[in-house]
Amino acid sequence: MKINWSVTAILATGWVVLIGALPQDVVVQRRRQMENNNSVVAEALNKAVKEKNFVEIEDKCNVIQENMNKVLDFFPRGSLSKNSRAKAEIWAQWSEFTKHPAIVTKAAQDLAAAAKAGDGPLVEDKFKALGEACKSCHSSFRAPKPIVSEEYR
Amino acid sequence: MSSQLEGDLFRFYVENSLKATHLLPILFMFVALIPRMVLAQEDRKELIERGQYIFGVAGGCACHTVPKGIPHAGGRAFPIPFGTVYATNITPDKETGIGSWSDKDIIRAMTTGVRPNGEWILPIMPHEAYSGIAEEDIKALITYLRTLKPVRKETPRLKTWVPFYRSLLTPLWLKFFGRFSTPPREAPKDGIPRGQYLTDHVSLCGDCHTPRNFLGVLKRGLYLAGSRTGLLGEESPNITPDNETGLGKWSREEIAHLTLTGFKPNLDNVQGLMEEVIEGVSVGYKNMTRQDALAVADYLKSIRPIVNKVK
Repeated sequence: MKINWSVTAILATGWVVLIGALPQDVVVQRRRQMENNNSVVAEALNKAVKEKNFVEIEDKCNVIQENMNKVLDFFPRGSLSKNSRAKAEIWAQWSEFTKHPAIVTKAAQDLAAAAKAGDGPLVEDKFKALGEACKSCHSSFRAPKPIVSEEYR
Repeated sequence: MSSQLEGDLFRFYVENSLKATHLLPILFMFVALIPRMVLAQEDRKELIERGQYIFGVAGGCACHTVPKGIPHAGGRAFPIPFGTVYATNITPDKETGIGSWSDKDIIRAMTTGVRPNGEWILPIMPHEAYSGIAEEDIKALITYLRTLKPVRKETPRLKTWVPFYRSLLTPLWLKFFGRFSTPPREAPKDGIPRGQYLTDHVSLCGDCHTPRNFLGVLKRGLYLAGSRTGLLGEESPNITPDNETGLGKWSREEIAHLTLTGFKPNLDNVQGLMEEVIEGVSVGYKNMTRQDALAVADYLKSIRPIVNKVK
């Protein structure tokens, strides 16, 4: 059987590019998703809590829950990158890491329930609890903003 | 009773009543002094509590603790132009800490940058800023520092290839670039003056949130306007009240909330050095009163907004 070297070379190059591109694409998507969580969803949620806009609070909590359903897809193995604040511990402690979306989901559900009940003080408490839930993952699995050297970490 | 025994008894009575007579004034003085001693104890207790508060507002002096290391025992590495310097042991250990230093020695080191042995302290230790700390506050702080658990731990020596870095370059740097303040006797108690005092001279926000040039000199025209490579190379945001690049859109309550908890309005949390100074080792910014946190916020909202996009 004759081997068409040109086609093989093109396929091989395409495969290498695909493999090289995949982690970077997911890193970009991941950063966008997290920034979106903060800048769009959480800021809107903060505004809604201040204004006691319970309908908006419930809506944003639903968005957070949807985001948490797919968040693990943004952390495939091999997507550790210096352009991302995701720490290697995510994959080293994968079973621990995967508990956190559920924690945030529960906190969002509690906040939505408080909003549905129209309980202002409870909404404020549950909003803080949602922040703590997000923080619990960040503290273990997100690096601080880039630093100069490991020596100074 | 025999006369011998009578004599002995009489002598016993006289000698001991004389002793009692001598003892009486001493006993009286002691009784009179007890309330003063109790008051002095209470004064000291109050001083220690105030010192602990100042320690917290100063970020728990987190720079002097290696993360997850022994509290306040130094050894933390800081990059400087042309080298690395290590924070010192500030526990009251007599050999390796400040245990053998007098109060004057500690004040001199903290506010002028000179150790008791005449050695210069590199200005990464913000003695210029601390030179403006109120006398009552530094006195309380020192009293508190002396209650810390002494830890025997040597500080690693300065690493640099530049000769006379400490003995010559440091005093020269201070002569040309150092900006020292005259400390007030008492700290401002509330409002924007209190916020400015805490920001500039105790919490030292400017040390991280102001960019520096290649010599490590603060770019004062960009004071508090954020830095891409702040202390330890960490990015520090613009905390002037510019609407687009700073804290202009934040309310004073949100600024105070972040100072006390590390949470931003968008539910994100600070990490790195800012998290460390908020948590402190034992006490940190989180232990500030709400009134003080709001005073800092009011000061930050009152200063000139500077456009400086850090990211």
